[in-house]
Amino acid sequence: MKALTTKEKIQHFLISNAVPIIFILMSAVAIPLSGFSPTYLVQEMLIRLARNSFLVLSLIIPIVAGMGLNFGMVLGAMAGQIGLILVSDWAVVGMRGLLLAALIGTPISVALGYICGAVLNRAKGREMVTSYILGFFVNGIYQLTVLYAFGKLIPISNAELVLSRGYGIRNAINLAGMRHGLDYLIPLRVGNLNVPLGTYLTIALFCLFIVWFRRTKLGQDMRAIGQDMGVAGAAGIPVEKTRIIAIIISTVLACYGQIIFLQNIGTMNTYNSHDQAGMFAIAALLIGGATVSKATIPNVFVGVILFHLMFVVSPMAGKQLMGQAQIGEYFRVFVSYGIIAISLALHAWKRQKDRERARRSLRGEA
Amino acid sequence: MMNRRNGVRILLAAALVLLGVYLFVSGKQHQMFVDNMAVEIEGKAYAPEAAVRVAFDGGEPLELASGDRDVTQVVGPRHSVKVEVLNESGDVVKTLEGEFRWVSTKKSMFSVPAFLGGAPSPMIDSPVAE
Repeated sequence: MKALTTKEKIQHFLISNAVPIIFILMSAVAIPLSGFSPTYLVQEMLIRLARNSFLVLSLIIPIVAGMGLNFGMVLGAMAGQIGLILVSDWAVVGMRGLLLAALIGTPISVALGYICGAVLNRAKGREMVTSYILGFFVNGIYQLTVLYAFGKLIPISNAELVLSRGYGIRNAINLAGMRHGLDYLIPLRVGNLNVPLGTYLTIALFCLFIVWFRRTKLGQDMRAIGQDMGVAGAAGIPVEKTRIIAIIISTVLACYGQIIFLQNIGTMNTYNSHDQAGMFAIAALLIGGATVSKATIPNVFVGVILFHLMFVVSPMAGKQLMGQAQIGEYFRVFVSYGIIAISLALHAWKRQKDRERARRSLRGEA
Repeated sequence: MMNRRNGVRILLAAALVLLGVYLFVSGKQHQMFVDNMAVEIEGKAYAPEAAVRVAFDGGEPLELASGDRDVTQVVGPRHSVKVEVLNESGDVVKTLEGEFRWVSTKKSMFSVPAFLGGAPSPMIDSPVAE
């Protein structure tokens, strides 16, 4: 095999990191235009990193197992929200309320993850689009449950949660009793900055779990399946069972991630909060330089910072540049969601380039 | 067939249910009335103080004059309370600290005179249940 030249190495680096580089350049232009102070931006990033990282980290395990980006993580998000609705009704507050919501959400997300994994096993090679559509299907069941079963079949005693007709949950739920229950569990203030240390410690534990999990037998099996399902199957690895486990783990973690996300915000939009969870998390991961087939822990943190930096600075940069904050917001939305399409196209292009390079090097061509 | 693996699974499920019950009981928020009116418990009368300052679980204190009633939120089944009896100029003349247990929604009123008078439990019937 022929070694890569410096030019090829640079080219390879730029292609591999095209998305984060584009976002870094855009942020470099937008930050001075926005006029925000560094302290404000750092505080915002600290809060948003704590808010989103867990959700984004939940996407890593299915990628390791070769199942692509798990758009089905919204199933876990819905399970977490059901836990939060019940806990709000029972008036269990603080960290205990969050733990109880997670405890309620766990069996629901395990069941949903199992169903999702079983469906994805019947749609090998098309996992992303299948999980995306499955999200819509389960969303219908969730809406039916929350809109009709809550208050009728599932007793809800808190009148503030129930629609005026006597059943169904209101559009917005105030999570005041649980707000920042995890974030400021261990209060830490550095200068003018509030650090949500509780959430960071949880995220750190999760990162350690991922590192440990990749080294376990199950983690190695997932990697083998991710590289080649046929070879893994021939080697005696239970491919379908392992893939289901990967999706169950991701769904359960997405459930916890959504609870962490909502305790940070302090308000739950009953019918919409979960909708964007998958799209935002996937956009953030891709912006961090991950691909459909490879994602690392640094990709998560780089992605969340860059994605949310654009969230914060775009409206103000748009206002300074064109006199309207809405233009900047439109631009951000266009760029953020466009980046998913660009990442998928870049991934396909990169795979083709890699194959061509591998063929050339095998032939001994320059 | 009950094998070792199923036994472990059942134990784990039971432990999770118990954890859920513990979280529910210890994290439940209760609305509690705080009352500084004359009260009679088991045939013994307790008179109110002219002015008191009451703080539950180290939280923000409530100030109540004789005949006053207020409402606060407490979390969990066990609570600490600090009652300061004030004179006319607002100086603390007597302080009493102690602990009490949440009984039920029916008995959700904390009687300051009963607590200061050493009643078996300062929790009395709430106004709704009266």
